[in-house]
Amino acid sequence: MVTRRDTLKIAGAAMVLAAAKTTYAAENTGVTDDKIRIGILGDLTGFAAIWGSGNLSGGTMAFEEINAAGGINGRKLEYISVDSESSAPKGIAGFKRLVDQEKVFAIFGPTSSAVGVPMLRTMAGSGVPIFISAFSSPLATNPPSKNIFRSGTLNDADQGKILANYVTRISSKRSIAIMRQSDEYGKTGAINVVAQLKEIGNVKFIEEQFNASDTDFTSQLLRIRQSDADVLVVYGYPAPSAIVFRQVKQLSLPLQIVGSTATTSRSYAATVGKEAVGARSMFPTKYLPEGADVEIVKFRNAFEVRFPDLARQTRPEATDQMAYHGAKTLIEGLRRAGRDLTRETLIKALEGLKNFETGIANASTFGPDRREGNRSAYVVEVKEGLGRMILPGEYSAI
Amino acid sequence: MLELRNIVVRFDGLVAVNDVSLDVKAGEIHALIGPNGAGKSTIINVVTGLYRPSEGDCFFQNESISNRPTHLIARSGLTRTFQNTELFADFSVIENVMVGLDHEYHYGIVSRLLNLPRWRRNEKAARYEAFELLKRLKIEKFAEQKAGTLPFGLRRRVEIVRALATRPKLLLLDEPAAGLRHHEIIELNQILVELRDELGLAILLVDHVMKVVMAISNRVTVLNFGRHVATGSVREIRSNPDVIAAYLGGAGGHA
Amino acid sequence: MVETFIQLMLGGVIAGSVYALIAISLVLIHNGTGVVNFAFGDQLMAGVYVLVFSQHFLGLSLAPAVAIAVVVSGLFGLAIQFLVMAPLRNRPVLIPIVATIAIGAVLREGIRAFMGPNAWPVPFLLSTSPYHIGGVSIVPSDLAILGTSVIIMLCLYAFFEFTKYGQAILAACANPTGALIVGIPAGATTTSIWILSSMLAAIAGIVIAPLTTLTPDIGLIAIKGFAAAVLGGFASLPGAVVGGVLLGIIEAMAGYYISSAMKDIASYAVLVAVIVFRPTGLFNRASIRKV
Ligand SMILES: Nc1ncnc2c1ncn2[C@@H]1O[C@H](COP(=O)(O)OP(=O)(O)OP(=O)(O)O)[C@@H](O)[C@H]1O
Ligand SMILES: [Mg+2]
Repeated sequence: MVTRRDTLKIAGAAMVLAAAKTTYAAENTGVTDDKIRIGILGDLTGFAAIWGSGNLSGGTMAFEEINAAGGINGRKLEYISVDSESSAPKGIAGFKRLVDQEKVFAIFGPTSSAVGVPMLRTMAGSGVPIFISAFSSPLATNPPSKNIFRSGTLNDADQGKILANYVTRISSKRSIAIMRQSDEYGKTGAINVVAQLKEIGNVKFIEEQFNASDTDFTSQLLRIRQSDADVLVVYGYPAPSAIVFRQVKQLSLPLQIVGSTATTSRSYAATVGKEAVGARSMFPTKYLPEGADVEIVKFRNAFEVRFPDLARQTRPEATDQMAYHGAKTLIEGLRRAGRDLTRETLIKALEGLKNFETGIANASTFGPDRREGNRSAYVVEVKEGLGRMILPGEYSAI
Repeated sequence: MLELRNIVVRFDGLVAVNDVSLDVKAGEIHALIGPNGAGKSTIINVVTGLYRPSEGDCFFQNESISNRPTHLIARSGLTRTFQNTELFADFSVIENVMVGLDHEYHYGIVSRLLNLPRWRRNEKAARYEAFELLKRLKIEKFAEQKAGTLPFGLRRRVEIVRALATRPKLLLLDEPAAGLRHHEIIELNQILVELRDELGLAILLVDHVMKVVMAISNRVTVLNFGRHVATGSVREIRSNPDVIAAYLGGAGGHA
Repeated sequence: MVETFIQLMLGGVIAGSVYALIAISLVLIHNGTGVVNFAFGDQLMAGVYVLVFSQHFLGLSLAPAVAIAVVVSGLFGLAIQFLVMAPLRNRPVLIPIVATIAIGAVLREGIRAFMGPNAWPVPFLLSTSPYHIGGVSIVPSDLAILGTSVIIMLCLYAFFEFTKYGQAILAACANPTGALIVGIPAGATTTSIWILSSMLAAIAGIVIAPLTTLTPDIGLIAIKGFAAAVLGGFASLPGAVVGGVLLGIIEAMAGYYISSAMKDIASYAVLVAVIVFRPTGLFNRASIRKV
């Protein structure tokens, strides 16, 4: 029997798809005989600029390379970058500009949850293929929208799940402490970790909060000291997380630290100092941007030549890497869609990608109802001398 | 010593001072009187550089000061008190006076921190001089009180002392006697006369209180509606029909 | 437990000393110029970037790099006064305040574009390895933060209390007209205040950046300085210092004895209570001089 609730659900899903259908009149907008117009949308200024600038640099590099190699099925990529300024209204305006005025075929972006989540309805309704490489809200792909894909990065729900599984495994006392930022970012992260800990069952945990502008974490850490936790999950921005990492050691707490992916920039260990040694963090791939893997070395060298200013700031970072991987995945979709390129054929082609490897980030897999390219992660550990190493073992959220 | 030539001050449309000329001679107490709104305070503001005249010119010791910044006018020996007092409310009385003295005594932080003799000598001398000035106005017993906590009459006196601390040659007083009781007025008169006779100060005195004006002024200038009415000795002014008309027909003074 | 209490106090006082340093500068500008400086956090951030730039790209050692950072920051304050505040002098006070917000945004985004959005490590002056004394861990680098803040505050105190210039600035803040009339150029003191507080911004930044690491968003900490200043009445320098230290201690105590989820709420509850019941601040006793 179909309940009223089910009817609503089905109707809702149908509406999303229908909305997407209705605007399919111009199925190959932005595609000409020799060109494909791509919009790059991301935060180039404001608090989220790190991801937006990675999206732009990684994307630009991949697009330039394919153009230099002769393009895709006889067409070159033409790309237009718009800054969403870390603001949702600016993001929506930028999106409309790319779609209505610039008449792009597909969009590479947006780059932060704060901008991307409020845009989801607009994006889903537009029917324009959207390819995300940077932001991590699970809402982007769950429930899936026909035209919105994501690769490379690890979404917050998956990260929470993987983190919880991992810390439970390494905690000999099955007792976990969580330090999380008091804002939306830390809250979402912690909710997912806690939900999974409860799912696992028979694990104790204590949760403490901090403000992104705090400089002293004595009170939270002393509370944690009263528990018997032997593993500490830190879910916050890099700056406060760095102080937490340091103070754990200074207060001599016997905790194994496991940070979220926010604590994995190349200079992060250096910002913490020697107290970072031994700390672990989630990382969305087994390839470190400073690593010696063949494709990574090629990418890094090319990046340093192409963006000397960014190289000066210890780039490429994971964000550049994820964007480069994402753009290459999008390019592969365009290639497979063939000469008869329409939005429909691109989406079909992307859906056909299985374990697509670039050697830069985790392989991407999509399907008719799968829009999340990557669902697994690795753990990175800071070594003596502040170098980093990926620990053996891939952790999957599925 | 001070000379105003054909001063005009306009405030969008309103002519507050209209073609007024006036001179204050060295060593005299010159009173400036007139009904409310006659333009007396405005003239003091022009002389001290807080307002700029729309027309006319202002000379102090034969130099034009019409375009000189207020703090430099003060440093050249011309200072004032205010109708509503402008003290440093959270400073003690003696500190208010010492700020006035400050450009006389130079001391730096290094000599202070090292407790150098020069600093101590200067600090001591400044304190001593400030205290002597307070005595002159008979308010030395309030030296350590916060200026802002004193009653209005005393605040006025502190302001006079602070003005004296800058070693002026000409002192402009805006209604120093307002609200004072009889015996306080007698005391004030005595003090002002001493300042003139012992320190050789010239004083431009604005006041409505005739017990002060008529008792100690060498000369009196009368304004009405921004215009000059008369200048002369106390006796001349008392019998001037224009002055009598101004006060009787004017906006109503306290005379 | 006594050790726990001492450990919390220590953390609170160290964080509070930084809040105090920021609060002092905010109060100084507000009382001297009537403007609430919302660019302060970004000036603080920019000062540290000048330091890092001088070290990494000009190859200077620490002392000259600090000197350059402080001087450049002071010059920036001078520029704010001459290029922005002076032209806006006769406009409603909201306009210069909004101008400071704009200045802050320009600084922040300019630096983000030029130096990148990523964190830069800033080396600590002293070791980060703790000493353990009776169950309390004491970190030399944290003591350096406290010590530097205290020294700066003492210098400021000496400057205002014992020098002619300091007294002149205090006088001009207390009553600009009164100051003019005793020969103090009140306009010039406004300029000095912008220079002085901008130099303080760089110093405060250099003091805390090793701890917080340097990003374009490090200026967020100025929010704590504002809270401290309000707690102290936004009027007196000693009030700002007490407000800062108190805020640090409240945060630490509330975070431990109530809950870390309540920490910010508790601090802001105290703040709101102060605004409602003692709008002039907790410590605006008659014996404390206002600036
Ligand atoms: N800044 C100003 N802007 C506009 N009008 C002003 C200003 N200052 C004074 N006036 C006007 O100029 C006129 C003269 O004022 P002023 O204060 O000089 O009078 P006064 O003789 O000192 O009067 P009182 O005896 O009441 O102190 C008044 O009409 C006053 O309202
Ligand atoms: Mg008057």
